[in-house]
Amino acid sequence: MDMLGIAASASATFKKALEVTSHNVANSATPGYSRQRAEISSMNPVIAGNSVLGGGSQVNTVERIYADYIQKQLVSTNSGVKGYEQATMFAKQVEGVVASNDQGINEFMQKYFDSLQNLSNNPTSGVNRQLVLDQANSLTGHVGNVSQALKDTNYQLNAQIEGVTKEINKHLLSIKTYNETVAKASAQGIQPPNDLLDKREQAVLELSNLVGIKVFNQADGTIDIHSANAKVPLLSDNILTNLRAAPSPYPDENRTELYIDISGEKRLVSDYLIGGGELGGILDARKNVFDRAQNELGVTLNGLVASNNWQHYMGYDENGDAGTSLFTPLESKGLRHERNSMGGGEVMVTFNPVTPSGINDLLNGENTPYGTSGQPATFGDKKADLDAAFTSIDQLSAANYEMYYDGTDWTVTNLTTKAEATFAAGPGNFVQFEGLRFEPTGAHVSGDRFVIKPHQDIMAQFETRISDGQQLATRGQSPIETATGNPVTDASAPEPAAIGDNVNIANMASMESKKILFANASGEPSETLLGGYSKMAAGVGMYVRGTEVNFEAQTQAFNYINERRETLSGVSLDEEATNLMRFQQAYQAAAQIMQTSQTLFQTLLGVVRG
Amino acid sequence: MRVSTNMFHTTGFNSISQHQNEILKIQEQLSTGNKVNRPSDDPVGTTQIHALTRTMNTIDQYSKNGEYASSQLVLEETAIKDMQDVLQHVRDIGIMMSNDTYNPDQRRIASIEIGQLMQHVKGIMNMKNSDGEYLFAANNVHDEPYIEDPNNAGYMLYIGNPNAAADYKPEANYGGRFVQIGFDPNNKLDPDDPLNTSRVRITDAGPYVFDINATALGPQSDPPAAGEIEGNIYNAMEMLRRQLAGLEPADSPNGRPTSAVLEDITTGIETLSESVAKIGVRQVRIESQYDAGETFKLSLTERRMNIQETDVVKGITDFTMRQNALQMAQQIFTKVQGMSLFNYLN
Repeated sequence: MDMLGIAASASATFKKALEVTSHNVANSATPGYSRQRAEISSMNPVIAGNSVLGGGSQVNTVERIYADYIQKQLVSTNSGVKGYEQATMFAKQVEGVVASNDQGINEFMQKYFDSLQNLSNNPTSGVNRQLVLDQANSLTGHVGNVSQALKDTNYQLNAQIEGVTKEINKHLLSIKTYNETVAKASAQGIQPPNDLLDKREQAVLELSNLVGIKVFNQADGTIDIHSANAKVPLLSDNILTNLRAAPSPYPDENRTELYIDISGEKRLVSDYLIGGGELGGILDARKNVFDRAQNELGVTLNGLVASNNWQHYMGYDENGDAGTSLFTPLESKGLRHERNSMGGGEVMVTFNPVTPSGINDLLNGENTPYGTSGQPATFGDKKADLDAAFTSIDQLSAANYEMYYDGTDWTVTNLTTKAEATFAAGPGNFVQFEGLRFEPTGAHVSGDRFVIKPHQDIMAQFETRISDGQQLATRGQSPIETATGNPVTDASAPEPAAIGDNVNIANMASMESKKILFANASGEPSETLLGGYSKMAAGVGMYVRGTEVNFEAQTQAFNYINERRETLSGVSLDEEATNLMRFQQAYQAAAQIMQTSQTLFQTLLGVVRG
Repeated sequence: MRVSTNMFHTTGFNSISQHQNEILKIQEQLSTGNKVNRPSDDPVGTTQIHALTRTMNTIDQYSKNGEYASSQLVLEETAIKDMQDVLQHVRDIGIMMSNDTYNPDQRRIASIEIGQLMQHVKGIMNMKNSDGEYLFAANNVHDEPYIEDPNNAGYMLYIGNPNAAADYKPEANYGGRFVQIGFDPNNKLDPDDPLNTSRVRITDAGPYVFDINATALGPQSDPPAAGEIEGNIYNAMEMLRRQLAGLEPADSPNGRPTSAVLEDITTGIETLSESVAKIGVRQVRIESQYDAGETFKLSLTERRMNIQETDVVKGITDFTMRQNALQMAQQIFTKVQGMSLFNYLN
């Protein structure tokens, strides 16, 4: 190799190195770019006789400075960050709707009970009677607003899930395209397609914003993508499995779920996707905050409606008539499964305890248990009915239920705890489960399935039934038997006290401080109505707090890993500046060698010419 | 360690955004004055705030109830005291007229005065409160409690007396309105609850206030036998009036009142004093419940303040600290931006 040859190889080498440096500078702000380095080596030496001569330099390859394990960690922490961020944002929205500290449901409930106290002070006052109805209407109105806001939130949630799903599919498609190009380039190229790989990594990172994923490298240079728990294949052998956002199997539920088609079979995968990314975050918040808060609030409302109604049934109104439903009683219709028979059969869930007296006209569509059938035989029987109602109230559980018919029996399942109750099918058959009465009506076929949400339904149904203040049952049981003049005992017949009596309304007002919800192991109720509300609010707060803390922790982890990535792969402009100087000098030196070689040649020529 | 150019940006931006987030939080706490503005600020604290607020509101409602009860009791007390004064006056007249210096004519004139005073007493016995409820009718507040005795003209009886015949209302004998002035351990009121310390009685049945064992009115059995005159203050006065007017010659020659009827009136005054004392006790109970409630509320307010409200001094100190840190981070960021080797290349 002569001097000129060496100079030529050197200038080519350093030109290439300068190009790589320029490329690095040009991409110093490109997201996902990994810095590149020209691998310079000396050329194979020339062996001439017994001496070995150097042959100049060359650029072997342009190396991409990159570590796969860092990138994978970056992807997983990134989806964690986005997941918790979305979950927090969504949960805060729910928190704002149901669990505000001031002017929330608790405030209106408090005012309602205050109005009952006022009426109890002066039960014959028409103004006080009207005030109770006004406050009850304010409470139901406020719950109506909350219920509407939650309904809107549900629509927004469905739309968001659909939007995110579209984005996910778009990203998967572009990753698939990159995969194809990378595979082609790897098959024919000598040099790895560095910039293409960076772009694919960036697309994967962006996909991890949307959903938690796990990436598997394949031998041919392509990558497979699965959900974070590896249960849902999204891109496998470069075959795309699209996520599909579609209504749940219960058409009237109005809830968007996620499906994939595996060999023609539609599979529900929503629960597998909970966790990372925007989609995982909102699915998590929907399950653990949106559904839960609604059910817990619903239990409080069901408790309020049932306890006030049944205490109201105990009393007598201004005209001495038996108290009727103050609030509209719960009537929750089961939502049909899409594969149910079209027989028109329904299932209905109501609050109707089994009364020891055996009398309950509510079941016949009347407005009071003691309507056409009249009052129970004794005051004691009536009190036992009330006790039965309260025993049912304290069993209410914040859950949705499923009813399934296998042809002979019905099974009711609490979808949260998976507790079950079974009863034989037959006309008029029902089961009393967790404080509620589950009753099928109409014709059913084996395999019929319903989902029932009694505690979410009550929010939409919550309204005052009584419109005339005179119908408020302020009076309780007469303290004497009017027929005999003897003081009342449990064996006395039920009869109204005098018009100025306030015993029943005072007992309704006392309901505020009475523990009536959530019986503990020994059967003692553990929460007041407002306590039930508080429990729900604290649950929402706890969730928001938890996701916030997790968000911060994940962000820290992400920053740390991102720093590691930058340390390894990030472009340092100062470094490029020194490289620029270094390679420029070397290039100039190579040119100088050419010049020297030329001068040497000229000198030699001059000598020959003489 | 290698440092990439992007790291300057991200580090600078991260610290600025962290400080901004903290400042935002402190700003909210200082401007609302609360450190707990939503459940997630302190989930456990929220439950306590709710419980404390509820207890405090309930105490407020109980003190409102107490005020109402008190106003009703004052009305009742005034009425009874008024009646006491009248009765005292009637007794004075009676004692005066038993003196021999007065002649039957003068006694007849005195009887007319008593007749007038009896109208006043009757008004008190059938008194209504501002809501139109009869005060001395137990819970039977819409029927006039004292009516003309159908068997004994001129006398009156309570409608809870079986002798009231068609107007007989047995429910007028029992029950009374109870107003809640404190926390009830079992949150339950029974019909005619005899012992419920959380509540105070604000109505009484007439017989509890006005009935006396009036010997001058003949036998008074329990339950009343048919045709008996009811032993109440009004009827004692009627008897006195009759004796002064000489309408009961058998017992009171020359219209001089018998010692029996004067004793009955004295008993009446004593009975009324007892009622006044009972009402006084109820008012004392309302007062002391109110005081206890206020004291309780004071400690609750303090507890809620500790959980819910911002320590302003600490808030402002934190704010200043964060503000300085943010300014520092911003300055460093701009300084670091100028640090590039390219600046020195030429």
